[in-house]
Amino acid sequence: MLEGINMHLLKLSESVRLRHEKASDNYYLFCIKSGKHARLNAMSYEIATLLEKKIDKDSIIASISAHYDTDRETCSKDIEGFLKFLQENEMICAVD
Amino acid sequence: MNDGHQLKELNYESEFYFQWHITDKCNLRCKHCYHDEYQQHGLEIPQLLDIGSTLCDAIQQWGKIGSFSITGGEPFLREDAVFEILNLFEKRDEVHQVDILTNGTLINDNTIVQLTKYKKLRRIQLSLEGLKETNDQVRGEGHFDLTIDKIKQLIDKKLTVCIMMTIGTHNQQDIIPLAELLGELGVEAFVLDRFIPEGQSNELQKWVLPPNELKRVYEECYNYFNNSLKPRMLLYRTLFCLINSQDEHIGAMCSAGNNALTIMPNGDVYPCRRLPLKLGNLLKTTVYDIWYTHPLLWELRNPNNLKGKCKECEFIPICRGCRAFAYAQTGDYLESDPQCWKE
Repeated sequence: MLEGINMHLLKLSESVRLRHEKASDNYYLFCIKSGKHARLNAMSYEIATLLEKKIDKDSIIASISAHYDTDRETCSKDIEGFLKFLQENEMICAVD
Repeated sequence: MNDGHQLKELNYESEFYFQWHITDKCNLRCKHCYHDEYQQHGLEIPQLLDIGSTLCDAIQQWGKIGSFSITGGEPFLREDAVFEILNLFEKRDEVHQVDILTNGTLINDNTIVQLTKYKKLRRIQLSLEGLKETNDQVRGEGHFDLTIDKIKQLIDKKLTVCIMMTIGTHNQQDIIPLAELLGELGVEAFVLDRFIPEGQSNELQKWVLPPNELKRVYEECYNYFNNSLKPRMLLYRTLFCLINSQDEHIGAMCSAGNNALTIMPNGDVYPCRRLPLKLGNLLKTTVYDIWYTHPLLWELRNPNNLKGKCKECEFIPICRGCRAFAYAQTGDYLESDPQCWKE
């Protein structure tokens, strides 16, 4: 499954919505089709935001590692974990 | 305090409540009613069952326990639909309890026999607006005597009865005498709600209790609550916390945007029946889309959006005022509750 993530351009599924509640500084991800939902940390929210437009995994890693000033290997593990979560919950799809 | 009051009526952390109006049609024309039209028959039974299943799925998805009220209009004008929905809820584990809110006039012996079969049916809620004279002025000649008969019939068959009273200047004097009568009849619960002039009752502003009169009425009710076992007075309403903020058995945070939705006969969804702002329609969108994304609900959830004295109030975590009352009186659902007496 992760091989697919490595090879394709990815995008959030049509039914996924993101929300940042500024008052409480909480980040949310919702699927309006299945009802599945999750509270995200700031980095996961940023990844999800990148996935609102089609993007490949390497570009996500580059963006996040630059923003958080972290090496690509460390970033890559976190990002892959989150992408796996999205994939398992049918919240992302390959678009190319 | 008696032991009966130790039961917590609602658990806001774990419960989700749907008030489901299956029809707008009604055989009464009560003066205080929030309806402004009585024409919609409502959806056909297959559509109702699809919606019911969807709502149950949502409760399951959210890990909540489900509480439903089936109402109208007068729900027993669609008796077949009432029983089909009850059949559905009996099969769904996530549905914890169901109430039927009815004027009671159409309930007959056969209806009662059928109702006794449903384990999840918590209670039948009828309405009285005071003693005979006051009630019949609001609900129509002969309604009081008919309702008392229905209460006796239901209790005789071991069904749990709750009486709802909508309080205002026109009937405040009858609250305690009515409570005492209901106790003698064996009525289990007595619930009070504030009169909100809206819909066809919009002209009845004179029935709205001024804040200090509402305070006195609530104090009387709390005194009754503390000294009488039956009927159990259900004081889970906004503003009651001002009477005694240390008593967790009274008061409630406004449920709009937090743990409740109202479904209308055509599938429209409101935050609350008394806050008639359409959020969407369940024939066209999912309940998830409405609950997760509608900006009005997010506005209601954030206490920082409240205005006036509600914004600065120390009771925000347990009250927030009635958003529907604020909307009806000011046109702004975020305004402070105009009936709040707190300085």
